[in-house]
Amino acid sequence: MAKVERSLGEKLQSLPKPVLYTILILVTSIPQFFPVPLPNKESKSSEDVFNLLTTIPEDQPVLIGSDWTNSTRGESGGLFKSMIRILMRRNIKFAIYTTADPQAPQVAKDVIRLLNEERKANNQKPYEVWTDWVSVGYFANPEGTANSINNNVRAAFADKKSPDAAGAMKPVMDSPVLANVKQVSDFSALVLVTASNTSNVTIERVTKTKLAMMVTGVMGPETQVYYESGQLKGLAIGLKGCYDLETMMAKKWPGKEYVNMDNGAKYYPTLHLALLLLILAVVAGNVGMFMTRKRTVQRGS
Amino acid sequence: MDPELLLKIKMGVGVLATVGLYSVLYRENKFYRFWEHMFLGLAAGWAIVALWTESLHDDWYVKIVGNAPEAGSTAPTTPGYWAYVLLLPIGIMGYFVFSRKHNWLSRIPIGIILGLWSGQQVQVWFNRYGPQMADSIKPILPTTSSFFRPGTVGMSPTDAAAANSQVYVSDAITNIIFLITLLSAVSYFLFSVEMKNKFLKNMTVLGRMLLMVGFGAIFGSTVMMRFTLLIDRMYFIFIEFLKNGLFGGT
Amino acid sequence: MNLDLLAQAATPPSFWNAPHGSTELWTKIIIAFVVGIAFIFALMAAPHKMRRPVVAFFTFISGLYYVLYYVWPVPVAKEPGTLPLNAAENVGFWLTDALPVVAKFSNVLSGFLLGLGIFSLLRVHGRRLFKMQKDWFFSLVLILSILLMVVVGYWDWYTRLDPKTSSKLQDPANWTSINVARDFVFDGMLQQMDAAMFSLIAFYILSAAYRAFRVRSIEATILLATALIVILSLMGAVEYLWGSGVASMFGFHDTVLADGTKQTAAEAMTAANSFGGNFTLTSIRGWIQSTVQTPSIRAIDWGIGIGALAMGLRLWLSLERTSGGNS
Repeated sequence: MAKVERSLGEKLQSLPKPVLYTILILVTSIPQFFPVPLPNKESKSSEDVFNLLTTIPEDQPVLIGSDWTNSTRGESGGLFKSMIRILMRRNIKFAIYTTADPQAPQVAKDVIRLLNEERKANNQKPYEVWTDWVSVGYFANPEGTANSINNNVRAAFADKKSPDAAGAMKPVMDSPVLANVKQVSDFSALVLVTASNTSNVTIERVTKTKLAMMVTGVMGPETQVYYESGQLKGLAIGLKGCYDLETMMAKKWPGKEYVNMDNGAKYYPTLHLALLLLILAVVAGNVGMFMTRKRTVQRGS
Repeated sequence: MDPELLLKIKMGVGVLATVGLYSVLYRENKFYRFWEHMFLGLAAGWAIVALWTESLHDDWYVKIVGNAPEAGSTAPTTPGYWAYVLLLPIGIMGYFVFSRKHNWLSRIPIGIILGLWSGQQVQVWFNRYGPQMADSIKPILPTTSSFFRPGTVGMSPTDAAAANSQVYVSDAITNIIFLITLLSAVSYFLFSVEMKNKFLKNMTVLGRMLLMVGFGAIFGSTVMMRFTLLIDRMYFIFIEFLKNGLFGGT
Repeated sequence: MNLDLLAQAATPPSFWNAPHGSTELWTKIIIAFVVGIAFIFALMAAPHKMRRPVVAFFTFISGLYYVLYYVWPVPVAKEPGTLPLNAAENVGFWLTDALPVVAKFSNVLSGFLLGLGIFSLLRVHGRRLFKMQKDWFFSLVLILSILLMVVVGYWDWYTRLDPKTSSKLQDPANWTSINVARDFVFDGMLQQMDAAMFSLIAFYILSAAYRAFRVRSIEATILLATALIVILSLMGAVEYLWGSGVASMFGFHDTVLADGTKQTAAEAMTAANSFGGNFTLTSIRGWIQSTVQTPSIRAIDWGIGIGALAMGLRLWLSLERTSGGNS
């Protein structure tokens, strides 16, 4: 049987999947061996998150909603680390709670442990659990919890326990972090790092303190709407938001004892090439379509 | 065991699991299914652990039985609130979903959760959309004949405030486009029935086109996220494990 | 009206509480549990026509609390010990005090219901394993994985409950074998697989975009053009170079200011409020974002919001066909 010769247009539209996947793996791995610092133009919403974190008073704690796991480590992990580094540098106490995923509290604790090891390596005082930060734990019902936090945060967290400095389990509200918190407005801000619908749940219910969010790229456009309307005081979106924060941190804390560039700097150059690949793939597909269409029209006429 | 070696083994298993799960890209195979089932099992196992350790233990169990203070503490003993135990039978009702005869009982706890959710809807609707509605009411008539907003660098604060308070022609045009987009896109959702009115018909067509701008932005942002997650995996395999782990690079 | 049941702080003994470890407390707990179980049996014996009203009753009462909380005047900032002036204020106080308790109820109940998914998983795979049906080996892997995680997870948690060791365990150098095992299984396996599973979508999204993203209509063209602008603006280096290119076209160059700080061409253009500033990728993207993208997504959001509101009311009042008792 004679083999039908395919036109260039058809070939451009039918690159086999294994080839496409292999190219993607190569494009997302090889550039990582050659890290290059990239210029950046920080987005306004990321600047607002950074300004919020660097100007909130040092004597007021921050409430952090940590609703991410390693499924979004690339984005949420980098955003979370940048925020915690800023708070640690400013000696601001923080409390972390979770409403999205039972894995999230442990993931947050693991990240803080790693950041403490980093601080020790740079001769900085590690952040002590109970004294400097507490994990309030997991709440299975996001809606009820957000309502309760807004209405009476002491009661909302009343039954949660954390090990104190001596290791005894005690109510989190007795910790130095939360001892002076009577209502949610006593937190200088609620910053939610999320990869789930808890962003909407929180916007709908927590109205008595400043809200800022760090969300994944997928959630970016829908969450941007709340930033535009002023419901969010700052918004960092995905890897771009992460790199924005790292760039601003490097400008504010240029000292060698500070680790500023992390996930954002590691992944951002590679992201450029991956996005370029996507653009080329779409262009190739469309050029192929036009070439095939032109050929069909010519044949028909 | 040597912590360095343990770390390498730990990362090695992570890499093996990643490769196993990625093997589905070629085709569905037994190696993939092995890791897939292990992933499901570990995730379910952790849910069992964390539901108790991070939530039910403090929120429910200790609430029921109360607790005694630590040795040497002057804090009072917390009494137990026995009525919380009633939540267990209500929770058990949920498990009747597997019973052919009495599965309707499972709708009681689910109904309670849905009732609590639905009761909040009116208020949360206004909390969520109220500020957005206020933000959408924008001036469409210019207050000055100047077309562009001037720069305020070097101006005195009073002059800058005066300049910023004006609605310039370019602002008005932008606001009109904003409102047309909003109204046409809303009309696309609200008037999804067949329409005879030509104006409304055209509005919904325009709305559908302008919605594409939103979807385009969502697509662009989604691509960034998905690629970032892949880049993170590649970083783990090639840099953390191979370069820094096995070959000791920095 | 004040229920001790709702008390959050240490309170004197009452009907609703009893001293920790006392026989009275355990007696009350057992009686309450038995009453709860008896209630289940009573419902099981209830006539068929009662089913729908029973479910509707529980759904309505649950929703009623929040509806009342929002429509009833409640204190804005109630201090502990503040007394209500009249019956209306009394109700307002009660509603405010009850909110954390209702939230706790919903958290605990949601916790129990989350276990439903795990139970279902165990049921399906347990049956397949014991009947040695096709692919029983994978069911065995799943069940063993659950057991492994449950054992190391609880054991690790238990070691951290002891005040003597808890503080030491904050430092990984003091970890015992079980803490290392938990870290290995949770961080080394589960978290890595979690990340791998979700990163798979990148392959599919590239493949789908390559095969399906075609400029075949006006809508598709608008979508593609917007996506392209957004993608380019997410590439900081492209955004930066574009800005520099536009700035040089309008006669701006990188400079060093009097105070010694460097000013890029794009920054100089912005500072001078040049007309060219409108043509940077940042400005184009910003304009599209706030003028077209935001209202279009806002419209989608409102559509969903109106739907959710209508659905909420239908569920609360049990008007949904699926709510209520099964037939």
